[in-house]
Amino acid sequence: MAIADRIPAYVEKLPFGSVLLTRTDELLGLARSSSLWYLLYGLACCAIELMATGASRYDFDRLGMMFRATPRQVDLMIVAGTVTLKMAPRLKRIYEQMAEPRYVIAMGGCASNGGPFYYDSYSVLKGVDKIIPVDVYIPGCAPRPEALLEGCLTLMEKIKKERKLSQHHEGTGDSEPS
Amino acid sequence: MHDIEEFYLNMGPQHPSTHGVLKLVLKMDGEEVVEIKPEIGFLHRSLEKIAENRTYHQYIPYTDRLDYVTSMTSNLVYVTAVEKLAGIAVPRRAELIRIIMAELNRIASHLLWLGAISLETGATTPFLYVFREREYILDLFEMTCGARLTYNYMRIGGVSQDLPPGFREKAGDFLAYFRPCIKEYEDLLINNIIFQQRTRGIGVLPLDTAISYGVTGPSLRASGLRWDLRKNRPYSLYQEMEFEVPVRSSGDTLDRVLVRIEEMKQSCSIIEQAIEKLRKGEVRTPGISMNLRPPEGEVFVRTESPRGEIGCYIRSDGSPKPWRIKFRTPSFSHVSVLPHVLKGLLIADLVVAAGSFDIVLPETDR
Amino acid sequence: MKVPEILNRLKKEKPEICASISPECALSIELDGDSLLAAAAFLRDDEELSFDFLNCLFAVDCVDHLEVLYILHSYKLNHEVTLRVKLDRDSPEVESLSSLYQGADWHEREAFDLFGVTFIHHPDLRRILMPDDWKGYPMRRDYVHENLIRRPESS
Repeated sequence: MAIADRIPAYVEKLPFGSVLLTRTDELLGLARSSSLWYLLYGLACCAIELMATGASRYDFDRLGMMFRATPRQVDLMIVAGTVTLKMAPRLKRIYEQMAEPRYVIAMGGCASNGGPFYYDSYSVLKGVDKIIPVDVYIPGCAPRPEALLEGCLTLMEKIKKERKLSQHHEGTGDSEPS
Repeated sequence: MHDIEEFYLNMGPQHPSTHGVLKLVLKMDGEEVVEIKPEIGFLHRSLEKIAENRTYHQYIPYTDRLDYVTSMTSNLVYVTAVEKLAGIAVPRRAELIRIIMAELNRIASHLLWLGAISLETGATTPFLYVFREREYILDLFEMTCGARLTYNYMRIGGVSQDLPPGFREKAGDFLAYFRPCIKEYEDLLINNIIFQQRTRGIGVLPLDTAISYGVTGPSLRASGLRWDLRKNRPYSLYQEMEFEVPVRSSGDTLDRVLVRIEEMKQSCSIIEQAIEKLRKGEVRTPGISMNLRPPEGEVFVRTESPRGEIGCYIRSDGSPKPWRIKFRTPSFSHVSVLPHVLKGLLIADLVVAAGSFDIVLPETDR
Repeated sequence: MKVPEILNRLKKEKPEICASISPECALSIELDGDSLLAAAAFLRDDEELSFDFLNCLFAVDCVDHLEVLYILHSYKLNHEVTLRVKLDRDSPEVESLSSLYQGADWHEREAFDLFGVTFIHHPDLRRILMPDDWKGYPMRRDYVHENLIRRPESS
């Protein structure tokens, strides 16, 4: 893909080239954020609220978000629930199977920071951002479906602001573990 | 010539039909399952270790997370155990409110289970229907205690706040709306020839095996034993309620489904009776100290949750923090009986039969 | 049947088993570790007791010794009893009940995993809740681990 990486550099030199790049970026951002498919990764209590958000009253499908069962077909992983040390390697493996660009939402207190299990628990991973990079944190225990929808809309705003083509020389891609 | 061998398939912790993070290692001969090894512990959050460092009041929110589909029942078993240990009496109005909440939660839990098992047989629509009904129940809970999932509503000596004005009418409206919905599910799903063919005769659990493995609740009643803690060892005010205990005899998946559908109808009747008996009164015994020190000793209390029998053992050493709390949860025994029941099934039937036991993993792993 | 009557019947029919009402709790019978299997078999098979349901099996860490508790219930006669066995902390070993009750299998694995109690003649004694390579027995009161952060006392 080396030629495709160099195309933005050539296009920028054309007259109105940078305008073309930013407009293409906006189009790509709009396309990517309007059809986020998410992975059913419900682990604990937040999974029930995730299911309720996808069901009748609060609907995920109107935002273009559909659930898929396999990590190969999704862009978004919503980590809903407590991650234990036994589950952590499996979580990392599933994250690595997702194709880029990929995003992660840490839903609930347990996925953000350990939640109510921070103290006195020997088997809980205190926050999923210790093993994978997280884009949006949603507080709550369990967060209401409206809070989850707000988190997804925040992520969509973040995606629309991504500038992959016009900022190619700065090397900003999607978030990568450092 | 090729050798035909058995192979191992990992139905891993992340899978849409394992009802949570349950890992089943299946030894397969083609499409047929020869042996099953369940692995649990992926949601072990050390709730029992946390109990050693919290006071009795501080621990109540953690019991919500023990079985989050029926938080009220888990709350109830814990506060009943503490009250028995410390010798605290509960006012009558609080007991009736507890029964109303526990039975509403039983209906909500069975609805969620019904949605899940219909997804497993391939019917996607009932999932959305049951969530619509469930949202009405969650509206009632939110009206009372402010939360949709982890209620933290019961307190030692009663409940945290009284029923809000308008609750009786709204609950009555919900029950009037819900009874025809059960009939709708029966007509569309349960009496459907495809559903019956997929569940009749699958995953048979004989009664003596069920008792030996410690299976309780609707799964035991579907195998033929008429035993319900609410009738045989009543707690709270269940001895005043009139309801029937559904029992079936062949112990297959269809029987487990039918027992739970019937239980939903009986729960509607219990809620109506409890609302009828409500009178003015206080909802919490006054004068319970924040640093409650029960006398030294131990207690074991058993209640009937939608999944089976949930028991709470508490040992106190006279200090404000418990020495040991142990929860005896129904799903732990049900996962242990899966290798016996699911052997020899085709993999598509295995998913349905495993779902009929209504296993939730937080209870199993604690 | 109440617990003293159950104990009397056990002592009458099986005098070789030494059992007594436990000093900690009047509803529980304290047994010697060696006589546990015989007593449990009698409690299950006797017509007047018929404890066919092993409700729960778990361990408790009292500071100087470990205790294993068995809660038995009878569906036929609707009564309940608790058995208690006190074990030495450094080498806690007791006979497994998985030959009598199939549900004891997983409960004993959990007691082994979290407390380190070894159950003799158990078919498959290995860790169940913690990862297989975990060191130590987490539910013991003196357990220390880098991931176990104790809640500070609020002032």
